[in-house]
Amino acid sequence: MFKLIMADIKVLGNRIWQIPIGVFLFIFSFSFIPNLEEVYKIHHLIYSVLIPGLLTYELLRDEQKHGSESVFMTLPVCKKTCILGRYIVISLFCSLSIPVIYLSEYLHITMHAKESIIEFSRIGSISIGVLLVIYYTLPVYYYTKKLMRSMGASALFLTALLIITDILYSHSYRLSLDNNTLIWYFKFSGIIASLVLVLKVFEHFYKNIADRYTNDIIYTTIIFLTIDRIAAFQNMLLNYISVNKNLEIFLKSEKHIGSYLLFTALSSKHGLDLIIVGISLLIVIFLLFVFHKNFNDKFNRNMILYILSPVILFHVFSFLISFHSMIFYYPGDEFYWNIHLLLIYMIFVVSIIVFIMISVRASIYLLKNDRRHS
Amino acid sequence: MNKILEINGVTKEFEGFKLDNISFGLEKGYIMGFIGPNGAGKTTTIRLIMNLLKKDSGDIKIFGMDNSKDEVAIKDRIGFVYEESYFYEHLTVKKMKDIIAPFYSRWDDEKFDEYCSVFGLLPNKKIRDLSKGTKMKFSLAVALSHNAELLILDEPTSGLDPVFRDKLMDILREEIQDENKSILFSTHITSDLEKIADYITFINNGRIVFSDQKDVLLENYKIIKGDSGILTGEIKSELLGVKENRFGFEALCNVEKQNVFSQFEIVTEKPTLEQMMVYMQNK
Repeated sequence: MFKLIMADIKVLGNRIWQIPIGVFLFIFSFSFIPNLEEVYKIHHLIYSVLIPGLLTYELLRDEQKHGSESVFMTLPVCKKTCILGRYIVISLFCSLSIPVIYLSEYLHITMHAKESIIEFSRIGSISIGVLLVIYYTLPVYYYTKKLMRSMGASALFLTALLIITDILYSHSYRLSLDNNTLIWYFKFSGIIASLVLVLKVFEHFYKNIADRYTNDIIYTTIIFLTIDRIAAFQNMLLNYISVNKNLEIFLKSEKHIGSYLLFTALSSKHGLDLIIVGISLLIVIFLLFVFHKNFNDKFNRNMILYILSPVILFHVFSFLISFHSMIFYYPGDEFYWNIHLLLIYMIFVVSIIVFIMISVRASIYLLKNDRRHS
Repeated sequence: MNKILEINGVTKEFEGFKLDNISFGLEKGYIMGFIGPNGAGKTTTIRLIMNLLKKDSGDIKIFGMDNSKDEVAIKDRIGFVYEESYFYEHLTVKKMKDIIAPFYSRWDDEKFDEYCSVFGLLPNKKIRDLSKGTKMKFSLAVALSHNAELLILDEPTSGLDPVFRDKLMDILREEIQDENKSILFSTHITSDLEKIADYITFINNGRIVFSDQKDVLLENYKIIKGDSGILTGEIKSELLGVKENRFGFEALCNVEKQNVFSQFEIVTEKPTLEQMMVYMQNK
């Protein structure tokens, strides 16, 4: 692993310090231009994206041009180590932006006699952005043309589905029709219409291979509906929390009874939704397991899951936080509130680890199928 | 039999191409020529051997180990040369060597320097400034500098001049002198193989047509030339690829089937590997 990291650093050569310095000089110059000071206010965001982004681009550019990753593939090192090494290197690139941010901030305060504008929450939110960049960078790099088409079919389908259902919903409001059955009817119609549209488009461009994408789109639909159900249930939970928050309850026991009663009411009223969410989560976990185990048979579908995983994880993450907030939402009760924060932190960390694991798995998976020969 | 490479029933399917149930083996101390027309499946087979592609079915054993499970141990003992140069173009020869060398447990710097001087490689020259042939020489120097027991060469002579090709054949012959090394050599230039190969494996349309000792193959087949008038349907069926022109016909024939021509006036010649490849492809 260490050898691979060193190899990547050697490949970059002087660019490993030239790029951060270049970005620093460029962005810091904004702090001297009065009208561009607003731009400088988000300097930490720019550094965090530009420095790792440019370094990663430089590292992969030569490989993209000459297929140099093939050299590493023939060396006595397993593919998993190769990919993990890459993730560590990109993480190192991300960490290079931190000293640049603080240096820039220090110089800004000293030279302009101003207060610090860096907040931890901002850095936290940036790191999520950087993680997402890491999540997508390498697997996208290893994509095959065939897979790109599959992704294109799924993306076109989702876009069409969102537009069509949105148009149908807007008509339902005009007609004052908004019951649950009708919404499901619109969703179903939207899915069929989008499916037909995408297949027609693909039939037009790739005459003989349109059938292959039907399965991918059906798979996308299942994942989309899973996300939709989780999101819907999460919204319901948030509504209940806001209702509970407005209740005049002061005693700890009352708080728990109140929360328990609300949860019971929620469960009985939305039992079907709860079952759907549970089954959806089980399907997602199962699919992730299949993704881990099965390489050849479900290549494209696994990659759709990979693309949509952050959305699923985001909703599961928000769902768990909402669910837990419903029981321990009072900031006055310090003990429970601390547990709540700890759990949020743990869920967050687990989500990030799962993100990276899926991304690594996707990269290894693509690399083993050799993008140049698929 | 002490096989260093064993391929059994390997299948790999792509869109529009299938490597179909291929099997062959290479013994320790021998050179195998791997021949076939463009798109026959040579590079795919080599990529499967190197575990650069995932096989659909079958077994590949190298040094008696599974090529996928024991990938690291196997690759430490393999010297591999790609058809094209995949090195980082902006690096110098020395820097590229410094990146590769630490991965091999038996890397020999002295040997590398020796090959650099034999091949005329300048350590401080950037890879992008090297000619196609010199890049191939660098690939060969890397493959030969870590005491590999199996050399897998995918079209190594394609960009090289005849003088260096001849020198390379000498180097390869020298490499297998200790009888512990083997070479799998894929090429279009069959004349190179006639000089050094012990075994020949011919692949066509994703199937192995033959895999046998070179001398046995060359003994078992004959080029037959004669008048087109003697070519009846029955006789044609006994031939492996027939070329006809206004002067007569020319065909490849198995020596066992040669007696069908006993009553006719024909000329027989020992075939070259290239002729065998061409006729078998036209079969």
